[in-house]
Amino acid sequence: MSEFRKSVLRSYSPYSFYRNIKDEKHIELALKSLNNAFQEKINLEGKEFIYYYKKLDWDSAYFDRPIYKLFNVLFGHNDFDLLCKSVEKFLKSIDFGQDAVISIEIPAEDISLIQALGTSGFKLIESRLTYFNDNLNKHDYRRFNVRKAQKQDIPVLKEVAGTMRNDFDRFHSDQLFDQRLADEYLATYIENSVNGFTDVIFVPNENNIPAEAFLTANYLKNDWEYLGFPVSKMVLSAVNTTCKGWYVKLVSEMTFHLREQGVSCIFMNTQSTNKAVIKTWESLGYKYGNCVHVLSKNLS
Amino acid sequence: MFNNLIAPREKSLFFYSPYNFIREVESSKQLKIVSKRLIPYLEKKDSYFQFESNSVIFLLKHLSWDTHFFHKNIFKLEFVLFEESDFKTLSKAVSAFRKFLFAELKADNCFIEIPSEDIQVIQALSANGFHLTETRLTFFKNDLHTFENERFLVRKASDEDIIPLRNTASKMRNNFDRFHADPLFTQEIADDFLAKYTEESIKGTMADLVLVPDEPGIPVDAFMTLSYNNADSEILGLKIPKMVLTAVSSETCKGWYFKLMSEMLYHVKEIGADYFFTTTQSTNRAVFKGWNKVNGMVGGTTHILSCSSPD
Repeated sequence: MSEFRKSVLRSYSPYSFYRNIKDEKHIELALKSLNNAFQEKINLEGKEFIYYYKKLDWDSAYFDRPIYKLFNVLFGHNDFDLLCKSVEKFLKSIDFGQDAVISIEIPAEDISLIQALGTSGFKLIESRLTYFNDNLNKHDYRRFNVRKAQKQDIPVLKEVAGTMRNDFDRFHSDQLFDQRLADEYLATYIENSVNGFTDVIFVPNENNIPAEAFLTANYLKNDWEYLGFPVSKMVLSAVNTTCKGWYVKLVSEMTFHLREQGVSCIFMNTQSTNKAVIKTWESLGYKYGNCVHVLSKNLS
Repeated sequence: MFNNLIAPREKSLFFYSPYNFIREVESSKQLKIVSKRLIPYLEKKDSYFQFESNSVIFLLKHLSWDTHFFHKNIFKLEFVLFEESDFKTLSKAVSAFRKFLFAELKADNCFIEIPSEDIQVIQALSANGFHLTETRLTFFKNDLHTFENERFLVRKASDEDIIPLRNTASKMRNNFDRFHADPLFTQEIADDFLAKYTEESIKGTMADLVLVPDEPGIPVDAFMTLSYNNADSEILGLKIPKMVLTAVSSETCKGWYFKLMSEMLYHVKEIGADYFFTTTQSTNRAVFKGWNKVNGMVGGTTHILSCSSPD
């Protein structure tokens, strides 16, 4: 692989924002994520491009159309025109099925692939910013009562998730998805989270405050040893109007909780349009780390 | 005319104000900043493209300086206006607009700087030939009167600095700015553009102030430019200087991004600025490391979408 591609590949690591990990490790992590993907080899003028992709079964069933994820494209040169041609050839070489959609989460650093996909009609549907905090000892904020969510909380939390519509997430921003299904997607997601998809979910536990807000986090303990430092991620949240002001409280309490687990760095991401969330994170000492785009193409 | 298409788009047009992160400014003032860019069209000085008798309007500007410099016929798309539109109609409109650009106007390139919030237009443009070439973040800082830091020796750049600073600007290539990132432009001309921009900044046409290091033993291989933004400051009723362009030699001036920024912060504090801000590529780690250090905040995201081919 060319040195040029290598320098880009590091930014596909889920922890690319963290500078204290060696580039080699970031590249290993980026390549590890390709293990479960299919490979399609495209040859053009004696040069090889390997497309890594996969059909997402759960999403396809949920939205009732074939949904594919493109993970990455590996190649060993720097010929932009050829890269563009390879995208066209890849899209023609596979029978994706009726009304299929293919999307990729692509780091802003991979500007050649972003543009090559753009040339083939991939559209930008979401930009996400990663924030992180590796100075957790400094975290200091008024304390609030929270508790872990339980199975009994599911119906309420589903309702909260379903009504907290975000026009800028990738399902709502893309008109080809049924908007009712997009609303329910988060509801289903939080149900799965309570049922074990995520390590911890906090809800408010104060007098006169209903448990109508939540924040989920994954400890990511499986990666700790490999990375050489304990890192965790906050994933999903929603706050009902009955719990006004609780977003910052939940993030702060989760920060305390993860610190108590021995975590030294916490990260999370949100849409670049989500200014209220960004402001809250910054006020709690979280810093901007990197930017990832979601590009998508309707193949019908 | 298209007066009737402005109100339905106000919610999105608000985010075209580069100062939309300033919450204390009422939205009518933000829209006033945006409407300054609409006036040439209302006065029929600039041309626009209508799709299907006014259902979608593309407001377009020919950039003569850029066209001359890059030897390419370059247009800037300012806004896309419409009353209500679904993705299919917008897509068709973009396709027709693109044909018009290349067939009628003989364009080589057309680009737009578009806020993340205008997601409908982003999708319609990007699905129809306008690819993403750059993503920019706005970083800002207020509470400037409390800023304190170690001091560093700096001075204003003068004409003698033009040659070394041109050199620094073109040598410190940034692969992610919209000229270097776009295959339409050669690396050489993109380098040259930055050199020219630096020269004009020192001469005062593109900036109000340029700071360079003035410490013994440190060569003048770094600079930072500032615009006072006087016209817009007046509309908003706030002093809002913008840091525009910086280049720092990684060999001879390591660490000087932060030092120049710190001194620039002292300068804007002295002139009584309310906000200090800059925009940078979302990939520019050196810049956001510096802004994180001074507790700067992210104010918004814009994208450059660019189209250089009729098909």
